[in-house]
Amino acid sequence: MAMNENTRNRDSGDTPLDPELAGLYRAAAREEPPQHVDAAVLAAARRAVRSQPRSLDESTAGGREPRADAVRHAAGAGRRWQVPLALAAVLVLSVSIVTLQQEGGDSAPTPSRGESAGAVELRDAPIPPEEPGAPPLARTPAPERQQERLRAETGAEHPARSDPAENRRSAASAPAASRAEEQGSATDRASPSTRPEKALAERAAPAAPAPLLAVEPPEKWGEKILDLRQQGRAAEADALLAEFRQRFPDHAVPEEWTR
Amino acid sequence: MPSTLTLRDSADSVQRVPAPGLARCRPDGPRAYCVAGMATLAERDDETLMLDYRAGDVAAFDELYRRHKGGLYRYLLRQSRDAAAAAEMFQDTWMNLVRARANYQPTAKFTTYLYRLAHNRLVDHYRRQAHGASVPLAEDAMEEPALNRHEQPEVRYERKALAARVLELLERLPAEQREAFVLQQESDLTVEEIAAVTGVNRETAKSRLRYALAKLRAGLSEWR
Repeated sequence: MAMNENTRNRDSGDTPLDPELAGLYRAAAREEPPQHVDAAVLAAARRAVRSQPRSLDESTAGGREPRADAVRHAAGAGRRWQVPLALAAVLVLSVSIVTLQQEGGDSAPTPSRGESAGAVELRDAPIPPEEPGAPPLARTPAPERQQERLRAETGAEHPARSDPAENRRSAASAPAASRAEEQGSATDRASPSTRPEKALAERAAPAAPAPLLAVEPPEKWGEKILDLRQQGRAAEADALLAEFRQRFPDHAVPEEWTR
Repeated sequence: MPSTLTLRDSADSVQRVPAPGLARCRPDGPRAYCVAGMATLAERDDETLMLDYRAGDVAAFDELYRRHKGGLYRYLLRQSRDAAAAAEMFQDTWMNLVRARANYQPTAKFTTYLYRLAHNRLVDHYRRQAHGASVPLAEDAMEEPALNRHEQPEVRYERKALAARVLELLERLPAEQREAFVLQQESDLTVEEIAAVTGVNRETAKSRLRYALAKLRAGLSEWR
């Protein structure tokens, strides 16, 4: 290929040039690459294009292979759905996490809340007036029940209780228990109008301890009452004591439960 | 760049319209082959064809190959003086072009880019070769051809004989001078572009080309 007009236009103007030599060379230089080399190069060029992933912007070029078009279409369609699917997955995950947290929060036990609500109810409940000389919020059983208790305390029904100290404690607690029961009965007799309010107050006792202690023996009730008093939760202790007396009317109430 | 385009809107209707710069042809459909503003493969320049091939147009590569395969092969043949080696380097050069198509940018002429790849492949060939027949001759090692100047002088003046003589003289040139001459003849490169291909400055490329022409002329003159 000899120098032509285009070359001269691009050249700076001082390029060595010999038209005769150029012509003679063109006449002599006619070698061409072997055909098998042509085939190999063209095949390699096609293979490279077929294996190349192309973008959608290359759609203006002609002469594309049909299979390459299909590959390009599939890749493009897949890429189009990647972002929406990812967003949907993130949304579903977020909603699931929030829902699980809310359900876990609702089912968690909150004894303090129940106790505080019960304490509020107890505070609001009318407190029966105290009788002079009587332990606060003490109730005394009826005389018939007192007799039965005395018999129980002195060991008539419990022959195994032979400890003198225990007998003395039982004997000492019996009059106190009888006194408390008498006062409670007097209170009940003296103010029948307050009985409904008291019942209301007793029913307004915290629901949390009563169900838990419903199947427990009286001693457990006492432990709970004493525990509440030690914590300074006198109202709750009183409410629990009232509930105890309802459930165990024949059971003597020790003095320490009442103060 | 062609000044007009062939507009083919049907099998029988052909129009020539002004070519508004670089254009592309959409070979889809049996009749609507080309629309206004688009060029056929033969009318596109090398840079456009290479960009089209980069985009996946295999036909563009076919056209590029058709245009430059002869010149590139002869360049490698002249430099290596070994047909087998030339064929191998020729194929390697095109493979390098195919592999590098994704990064191709038309910052220079396509032929400069193509022959630069071939030159680099030649340098690798020289390095691998020991001192053998394929090694290019030294600058001053020029043997006189075994020609009988005295028999049938009219034959000597035949163009075919002259052409053959040029080839013989070309083989005796130093590799750098031969390369400069062949690049000018086979790829239509300017001195600046020859310098870019061979990795030298413009003056060195120009000097090599000048010496090559001078020696070829001198050899022809002696033979005539």
